[in-house]
Amino acid sequence: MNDPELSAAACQGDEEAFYTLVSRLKRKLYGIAFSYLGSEADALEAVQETVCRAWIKCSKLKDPSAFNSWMIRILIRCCIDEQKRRKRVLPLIGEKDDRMAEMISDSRLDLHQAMLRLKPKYRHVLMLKYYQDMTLTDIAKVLDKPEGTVKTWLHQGLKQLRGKMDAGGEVYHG
Amino acid sequence: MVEDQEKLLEQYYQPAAIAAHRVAEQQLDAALRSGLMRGKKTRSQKRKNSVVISCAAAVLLLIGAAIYVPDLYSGSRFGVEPASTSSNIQVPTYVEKFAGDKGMLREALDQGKYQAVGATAAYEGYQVTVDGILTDRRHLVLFFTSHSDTGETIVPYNPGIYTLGYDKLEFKQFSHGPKPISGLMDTSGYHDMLVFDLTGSEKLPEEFYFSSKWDNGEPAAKQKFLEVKIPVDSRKLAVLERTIKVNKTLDFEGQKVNFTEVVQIPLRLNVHLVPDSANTKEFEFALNYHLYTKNQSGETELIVEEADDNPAEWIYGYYSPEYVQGDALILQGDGIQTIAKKDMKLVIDTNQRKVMGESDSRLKLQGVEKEDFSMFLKLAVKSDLKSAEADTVQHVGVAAIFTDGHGDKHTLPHQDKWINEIGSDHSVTGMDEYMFEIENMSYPQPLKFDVTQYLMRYIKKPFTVTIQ
Repeated sequence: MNDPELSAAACQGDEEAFYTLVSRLKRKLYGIAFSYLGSEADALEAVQETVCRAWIKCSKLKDPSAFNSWMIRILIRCCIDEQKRRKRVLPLIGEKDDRMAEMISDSRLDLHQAMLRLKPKYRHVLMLKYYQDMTLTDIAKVLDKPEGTVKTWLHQGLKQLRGKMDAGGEVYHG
Repeated sequence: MVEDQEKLLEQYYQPAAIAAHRVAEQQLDAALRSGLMRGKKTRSQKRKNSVVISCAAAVLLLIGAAIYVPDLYSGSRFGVEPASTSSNIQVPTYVEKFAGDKGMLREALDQGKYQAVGATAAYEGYQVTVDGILTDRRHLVLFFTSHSDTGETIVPYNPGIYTLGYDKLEFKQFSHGPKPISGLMDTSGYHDMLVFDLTGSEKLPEEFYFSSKWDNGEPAAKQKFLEVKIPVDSRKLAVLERTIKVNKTLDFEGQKVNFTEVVQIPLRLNVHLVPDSANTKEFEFALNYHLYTKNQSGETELIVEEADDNPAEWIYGYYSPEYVQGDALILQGDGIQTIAKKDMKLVIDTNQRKVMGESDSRLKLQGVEKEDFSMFLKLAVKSDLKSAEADTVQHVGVAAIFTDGHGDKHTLPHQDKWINEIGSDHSVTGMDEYMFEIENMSYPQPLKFDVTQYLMRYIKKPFTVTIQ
């Protein structure tokens, strides 16, 4: 079966087709989750939650060809939920982030802080663009927004990032 | 400025990219699988809830109708037999057959410890019914019937048992004989049993999930995932583990091994051997150990089917479905094998065609043969084995990377993990032969190899221990 056929089958409840599709996406999903949550355990948990939610809702997906974008959208939602949960449970200062070990320069530390302060919608666009190397069209599909909006968000995101790296400000978490 | 920022952003996501590259395939698969299982569970719960609501509505309608037309509620109108409950399900014939005439499973059945389950899962033409179980919570014998619409036999692939919270219970599965297909087939489907030994401190909870992919056992077969929820009746726990204490010390030229106990578990007798902590040599392997049962019908040799190679305790599992408590046991063996040396080096001068002094003294270079791009190094080692043990194969292994006389590193062309023994019968020359290949080129001498798989030494001392 090719991808569209697999997607169609998955949406009709074919477990094997569904598993094949998510299996192909698994590293991508994990990477995105890691970029949001910064730890292996949390990223794996987010992938698991995403697969769970996706299987429950799969039959309601109207356009099976958008399966991959839809999965990423669910994953981002899972990551945001997890970040919100963390915000409720943990004070920000105690948050463990494996990325910090890899962040060595001041500018990268500034960037990390600035990313945390950025509005989530801008963070999503930046991540999909600069980590996943996705086109604006594909990002628009994932975020379910018009391409023009995504383009604006990208520019705004970059602009705000620049500003926040210089200044600091409110911290957003989800 | 924008370019720098974009570069920085790309760098910012590098750790995620590295993490995605590093994460183990198994971890990802486990996450997918757990997610799918949870999704299925939620879906099925939703379905159940909607069925319950429908049923409740139907019952209300029936009650209403019964009040309105009282005769409607009589059994004769509907002609429905009462459904059988799990308590009155008989032990299936195939279960009786698998339990045999005697042994641990037969005892459990005769004592009424069979727990009927009768739970079925079906998906796309595959159907699996867990007919019943025997368990003591530490061991689980699960009897199932499987059926496929195409008529082919379907068997479980990589089965698992999980708590209701989907935590995997750690276990070792025992398979006897030429699995995967070794059960019975009849008109109702394929019948077989699975044996799980829970490990560590794991115990079966009050209810658990048995889940597995199912296929026809062929390579690249289409697999379907099925899951069954199984309750455990704590009033019907069977005796599925018995320990026979032995505590007999076996002495092999000062190297001592304590034969501590024999443990009977479903289908097996596990022989436990603990090397003495004061041994100067590391106990590697028991040499030709045989376990026999002895009763009024005579002596029966059991076949070893499992070996746990934990260096602190060796456990050999002998297949013994018919062992009855009280039958004598006889353990016979020829001796032990011990590891020769842990930091063994192999240093060869291929020009002088000899093994250099710092090598294990037993290794001799028999020849160097050059052929096109390959140079074959033929080694010989004095054998402790005799012609009667011609089938015993020893391995010598070297690391994939070796260094030449200048300290430059080279890689074995095939990166073999070990050098296989070749054409040796342990008797004619008294030498075992080994051969491996390096690239045919001019090397500064000598060549140094790290030995990763060691030759063993044999300490032979036949013994017999009888346990009455």
